[in-house]
Amino acid sequence: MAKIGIDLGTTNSLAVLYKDGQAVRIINTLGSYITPSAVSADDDDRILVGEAAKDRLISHPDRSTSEFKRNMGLRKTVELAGVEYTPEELSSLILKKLKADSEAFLGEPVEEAIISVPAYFDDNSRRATRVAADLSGLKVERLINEPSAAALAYLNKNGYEDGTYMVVDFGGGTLDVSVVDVFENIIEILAVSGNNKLGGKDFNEAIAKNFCSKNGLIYEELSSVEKAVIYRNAERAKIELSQIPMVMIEVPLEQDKYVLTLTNKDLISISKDIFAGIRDPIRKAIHDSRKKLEEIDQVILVGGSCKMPTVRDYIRQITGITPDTSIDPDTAIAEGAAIFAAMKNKDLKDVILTDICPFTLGIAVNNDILNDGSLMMSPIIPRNNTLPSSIKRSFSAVRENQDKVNVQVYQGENINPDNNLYLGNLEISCPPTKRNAKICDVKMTYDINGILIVDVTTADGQVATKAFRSNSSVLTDEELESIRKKMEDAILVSAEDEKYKALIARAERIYEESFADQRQVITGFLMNFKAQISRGDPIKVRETYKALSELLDNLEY
Amino acid sequence: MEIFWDTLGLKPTTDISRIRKAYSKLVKLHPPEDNEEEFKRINSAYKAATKFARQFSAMGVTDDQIEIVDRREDGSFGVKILTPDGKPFVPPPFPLQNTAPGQASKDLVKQVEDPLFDFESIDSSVVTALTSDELNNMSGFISLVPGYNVPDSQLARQIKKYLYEDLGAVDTLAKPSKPETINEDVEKAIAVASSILTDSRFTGEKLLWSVYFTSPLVSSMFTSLTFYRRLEDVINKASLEPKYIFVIADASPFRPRAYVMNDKPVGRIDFLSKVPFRYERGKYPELERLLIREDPVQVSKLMDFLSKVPMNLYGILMPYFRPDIKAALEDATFAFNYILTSPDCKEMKENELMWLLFFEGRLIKPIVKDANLHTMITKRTMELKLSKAQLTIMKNAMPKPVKSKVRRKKEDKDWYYLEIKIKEALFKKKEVKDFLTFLIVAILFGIYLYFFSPFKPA
Repeated sequence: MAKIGIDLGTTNSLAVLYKDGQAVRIINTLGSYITPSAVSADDDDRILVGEAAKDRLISHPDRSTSEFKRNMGLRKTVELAGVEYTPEELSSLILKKLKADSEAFLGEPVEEAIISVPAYFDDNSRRATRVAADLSGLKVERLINEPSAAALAYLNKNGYEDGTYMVVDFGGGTLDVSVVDVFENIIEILAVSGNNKLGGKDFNEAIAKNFCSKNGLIYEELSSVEKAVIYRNAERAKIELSQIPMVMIEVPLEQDKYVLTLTNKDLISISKDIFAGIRDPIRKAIHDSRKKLEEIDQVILVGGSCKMPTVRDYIRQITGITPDTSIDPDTAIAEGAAIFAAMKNKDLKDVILTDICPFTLGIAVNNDILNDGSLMMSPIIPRNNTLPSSIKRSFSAVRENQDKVNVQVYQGENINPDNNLYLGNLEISCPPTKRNAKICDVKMTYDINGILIVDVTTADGQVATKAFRSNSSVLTDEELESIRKKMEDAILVSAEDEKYKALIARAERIYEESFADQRQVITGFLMNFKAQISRGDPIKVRETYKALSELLDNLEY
Repeated sequence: MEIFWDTLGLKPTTDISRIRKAYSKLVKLHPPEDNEEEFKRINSAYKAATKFARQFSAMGVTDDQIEIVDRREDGSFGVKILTPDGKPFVPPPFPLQNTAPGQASKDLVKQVEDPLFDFESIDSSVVTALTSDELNNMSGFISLVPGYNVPDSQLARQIKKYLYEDLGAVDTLAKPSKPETINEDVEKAIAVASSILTDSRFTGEKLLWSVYFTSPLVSSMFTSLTFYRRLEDVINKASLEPKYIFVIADASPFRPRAYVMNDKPVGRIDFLSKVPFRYERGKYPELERLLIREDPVQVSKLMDFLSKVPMNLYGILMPYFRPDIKAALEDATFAFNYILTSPDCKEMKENELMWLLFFEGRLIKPIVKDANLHTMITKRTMELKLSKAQLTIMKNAMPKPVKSKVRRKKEDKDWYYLEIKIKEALFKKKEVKDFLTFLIVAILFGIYLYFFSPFKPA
């Protein structure tokens, strides 16, 4: 039984199997190894996942969604075909598809996987990812941090050469920076920093907004279809700028045609904030690793956004090191996750990865100076501590004859607990204790599977323990069961159907982006194709399929 | 109890690659997935050994020079550095030679060919190279409060919160002032002071004022007369209660007095009345703060001396924010060894002002009551066999701890321990011993003469 590595990305997802020293990319039903992280409901309320859904973002923005990874762990739902979906449910659809594709490609059942998450994912987001895996029927023993996975992929390719590396993983929606020390086949993650709200999407948005302001349009007042068209063109312009020095964005809206030329220099000046946002995590990671900038031997770039020459150049300039881009930025993370799966299976015995906890974990304590009932954060496990770790601290009573302790557990760097993530609480009664006398010991243990265990020991030796398990989510078992049922009810488009759906979605998307004369041609071909499908003649369907896809290829490039 | 080298199966070593090899072997036997407890033990031993190796290999210590002494039950131990010729070990100047902050990375940036980013034309605040300087500065203000021996007190946290959130003053205070922006910086610092003065919760908080005065911004400006005049103005205008004025005066590095007339404070703080003006101002700002009440002849001697020694020693006395007490203690050890053993400091060893400066230095002051520092000093003074005069000078210069009426604290005990040790050291001096031996022999001889002498008087 195969154990695969999955990169569940903001924009794209993919699965890789590491077998006999080789990373095998899993090809999906549409013949590509990349599956866009998009979900859409078709006209019959069936669920489409992947390429087809991505195209339908433009033609049917109201019935499609993507980028839900950004909301993982938040209670933000999306309505598709009358059903509310949470981010973890949408992610489980992607995982389900990856699982099905892997099984079809490998010809064997796939039940276990290692999923990569941004290092800066907080505990809720990690729980949500595990819930998604659970819903899709995959057993996920461990999550791996994306920059750690990227480092693994790079090192596996380059022979685990000793040195200090900085991995910058700049994907569609998240930025992670980690500093890694490698020696004697040990990969030691020293520090992780990042911004889970910064990614390539922000460039698209900046370009789209710039396009509107230059053309006298007001971005906020456009319809969702118009926004999506501009957005798609902005994204394409961004990608093309990686190859050529100047691009022209042409967008037909209603009867008018709007145009903007864009160079890399323009891109830099309109997205200053994004570049500034890249700089801070880099600085923080180097600082936290207690290394000097000069001690970094190599900078490794992964993630789709690192394909942009502006981003590469920016990192080259601020660090003074020409980054290594030899590994495929799209697949590195999934490969790393697959290698990690192999390591766990003892297929790769002599390589060890030691990871860290990127957050500070602590409890809220009473603010006894002001004594106004406000709380402060008292850190117990500091950030960037090697996993597993356990640390014990003592606390004292705040009231005379206090006979109860309420330990509230938080995760985050802010002094004010309200600004940190609340994980849960633990109450224990104890013998009456005088004010300022020691009342209890709090021991926190954070193990390698991301399970936080808090032990509170009172003076009379009473112990209360609570595990904050990432895999037993915020949801109860019944809730989980009902979600599972709901997800089973959602009818997925079959693999055979999917190809056709994808083509129709693509045709509809190109239709939206085209001018009047081209639209007529597309309509003709599309109607013909649809008619053949409904008649069900396989040969005719294949013919019209070929004709339509050739037409679209010509129109698009 | 085993110490970290035992865990790794090594002899004491400063060779990081050996430590890594040993660690790697052990971790492969006990990967984190299999046995968490075992991994935790190995990992923490590895971290401790690496830290030790970094420190001592930088001093040029080799493996065969290290000897473990004084192993204790709790796992702590002492280390003795042996030298081939039996002479005291002299650490090299501290800190080890570094390139000027930021220099290296700027050079690297120059090597980059054909940049897309034109640093001149694009907003330089966004697109500037990272410098080591900048990286090092980051820890400055953040660690200020822990530096005051109250690492995790409620009050420290309270103050942090106040400065970070309510006042948003952290950005202002965290960067040292530059000559070209001094006027703006004075205004910034005064603005922060005014906000503190108007917040009734914190006006009288000494720790907060200490943080304020020792923040990189204010401490870098304290040669500015304008700043202190403005500060006096603001304080006087605020018409504070007298007790608050005392608090501010106490926290100020100038040790000024709040004026008292007929037992009533008049609320004026004269920061400048005692600042000597005969030096080249601004050359050693930190010294100016310390030496306001000292003998000018000695001071100029000291100034001469400090202009000759490597900048390193001077660095100890400068505002020097380190993330934790342990790091500060390491630096203090370096400085102490340097003053005692380096030929550069031959004369200065017996200069009382030098020791005063050492103990009052910004680095050492916050940790001066730390028991480890005392132990270190005691051990070292005994090892080096200092002269009596020198020991007395040191003893006088060392600050006396505050005696608690309620209960004697641990620090006090350590202090007495130190005093006893110094007395012992004095007693053990060879001359003293020789003299005592002589005395006893003489008395015995006298007795002998008295009772058994053949020349006994009749």
